[in-house]
Amino acid sequence: MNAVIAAVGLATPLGFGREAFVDAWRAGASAPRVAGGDEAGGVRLSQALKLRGWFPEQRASLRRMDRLSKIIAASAALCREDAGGLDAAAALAVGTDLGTLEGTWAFLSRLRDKGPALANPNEFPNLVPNAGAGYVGIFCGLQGPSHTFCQHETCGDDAIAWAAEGVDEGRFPSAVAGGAEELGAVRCRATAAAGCADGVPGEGGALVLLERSSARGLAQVLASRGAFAPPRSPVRREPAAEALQSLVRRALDAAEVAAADVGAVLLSDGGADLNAAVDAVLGAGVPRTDHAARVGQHPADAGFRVALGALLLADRSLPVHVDGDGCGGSAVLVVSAARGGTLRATVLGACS
Amino acid sequence: MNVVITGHGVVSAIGSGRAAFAAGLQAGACGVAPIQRFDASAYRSQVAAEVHEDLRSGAWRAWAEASGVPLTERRGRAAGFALSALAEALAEAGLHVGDLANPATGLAFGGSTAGMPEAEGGLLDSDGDYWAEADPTVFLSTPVGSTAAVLARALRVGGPVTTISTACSSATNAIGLGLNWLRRGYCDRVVVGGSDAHCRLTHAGFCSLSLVAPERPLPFDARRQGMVIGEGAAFFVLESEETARARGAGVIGQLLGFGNGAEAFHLVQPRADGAGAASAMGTALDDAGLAADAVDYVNAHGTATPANDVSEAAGVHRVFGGRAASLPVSSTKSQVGHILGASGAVELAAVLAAMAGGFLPPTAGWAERDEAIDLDTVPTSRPGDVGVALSNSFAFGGNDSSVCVAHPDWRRS
Repeated sequence: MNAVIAAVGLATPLGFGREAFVDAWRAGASAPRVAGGDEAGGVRLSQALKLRGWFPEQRASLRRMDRLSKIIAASAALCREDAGGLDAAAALAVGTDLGTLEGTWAFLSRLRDKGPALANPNEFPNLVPNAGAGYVGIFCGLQGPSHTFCQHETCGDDAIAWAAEGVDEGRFPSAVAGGAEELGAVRCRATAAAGCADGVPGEGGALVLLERSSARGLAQVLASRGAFAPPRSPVRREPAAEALQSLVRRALDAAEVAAADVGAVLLSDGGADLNAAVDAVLGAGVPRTDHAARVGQHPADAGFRVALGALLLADRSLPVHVDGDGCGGSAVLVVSAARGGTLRATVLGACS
Repeated sequence: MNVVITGHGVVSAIGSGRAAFAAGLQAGACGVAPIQRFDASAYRSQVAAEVHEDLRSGAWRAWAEASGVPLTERRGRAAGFALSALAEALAEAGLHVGDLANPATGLAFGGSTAGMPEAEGGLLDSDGDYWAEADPTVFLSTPVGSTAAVLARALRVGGPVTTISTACSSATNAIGLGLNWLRRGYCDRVVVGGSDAHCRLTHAGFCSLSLVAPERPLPFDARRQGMVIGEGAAFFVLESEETARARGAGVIGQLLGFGNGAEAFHLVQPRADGAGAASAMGTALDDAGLAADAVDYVNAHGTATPANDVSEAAGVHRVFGGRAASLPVSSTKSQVGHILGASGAVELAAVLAAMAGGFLPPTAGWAERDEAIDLDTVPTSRPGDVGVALSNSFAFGGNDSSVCVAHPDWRRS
């Protein structure tokens, strides 16, 4: 597949922008975890979402935006900065599982308490999952194809796969793709009640710029494959080992990458089962990133993991985890297992 | 690669099951009626196009038995619509769920409400502590991806499964994604479609924006006052023509092309000049390798909101030039309402019904010309051969999509 990651836009609990994030990651920093006293405990973004500096002409829209849309817009602005500009014909692909869950519950609460006559017309358009993509299209003038993927914890992977395939086919000259999620009280209460809370709930956005060929490439998207296998539990992410192993093998085959060439693995939260399934294919000992403990987790964090994987391949001195060395292979593997049973494996390769 | 449709199923307010749907479509039936799903007395509009049929008995049971789709495995109204439509689609395609349990079969779903009708009830009808009373399994069906997970488990799909949620273009974008998975060789077969159920969240939201009509919607009509929300589902089995012919499957349509783009203009308002709509239609035609003069019919997005219909008409004129005023362009939303994320799927089913039945579906209720809309809106159904058609879906966020589909017997000249 001919799709090169040329730039990254990172809005993370460890910093905003490539430089700030890489410095913090290299230094072994971990974002502070906020106690759950406000029922939204977890790891929050490192700075406020002040978008006026990036989009000074959009004051009216900025006032109406919800928090998730702001995270997505910040990620797009940071990607634009890292790239030095975006093509108006670029496609946009955003992954988000929960969307504006917090805003939806606020809208419903007002509907219950005040009645339908006082439903807020400024809030409702923000409740569609593609609101963030819509704002980014307007703010950045992106008129290419635009998709928002929502398949639980594989949504960010799906977004990047679709974008990379479109770039590879020449359907659009470039694409901005990744995922974003917000951390809020409703998410924490609901996932806790349902028994599917993330280990360290986090939030953030990560978008990568994909181009067909680029002199400034950080890494290549070599292949991405998806599969479905009913999980043992509808609540926990406990992927079916056999299906996951088969998927990883198919992704590596499609990428023409040998297991021994994989220098780092970036996993979604899938517990011991996910680790064991990947080990069964790659062999034990391939280092895993420790991003979950350091920046928290969210359902759309595959965008972040792909961006981190590209950074690890572009700078081999960047440690894979806090106690480790840099990536020792020419490829990295990004694997996600979602609640409900969807799986995706994406293989990134170093730019030659 | 030529991608064909080998099965489809549909659930709508004017008739569920493709035969009843086609009959209602041709007769100009309108499914809009007073809302029964909830007490709508405090809302600006008290009508919707709701589905009240029992989708688990009669023909539905027979289709379920033929296809192996478990209609009893329901988690929410939208998933229930979807499973029924899937049972009909697989039965028509001559497939059983056991045929889908392989890595070469995918599922691409488009929707917007998922389990919201059930989840919102817990909050809106609760006088106490919602979280103390909430059923977590109901909450788990709220994220829109939950419907596809339920469907994939019921169908035992083994390949890629995903959900696109781009508001009212969701299902059309899912259909385009399935087309691409086949073209790239990821899958031999993809099940695509959409499902949405009427709920208070969307009804209140569209009412708050003053986009909902107090009575039946009148797309393209000078008297139009807005949309009416509908509910339903439609699903399709897509295969390469080679795969379908090899197993002796009947072909009910050819999926020729897909186009999607962003207007980069406004979150809820379309460009008045129709540039976004025209771009989507033009891209779908380019993807199909066809010129505009190949198109016999356009199934419009046609919401009946003042802004959409003028914008879409302008887009049709941009694409079709001098043919635009005489090209049949109709809105199925005049009959089934606006089924939001699933609208593109149900409207593609309308196109297939028109192709199979040799008729042009109407814009039911149309009577007064809007001077800003110079189109043949097909006020009543009439005979017509549709070889190639476009079906449009436009959405919040300025997300414009169109699919190009052809009659099974149509061949390139």
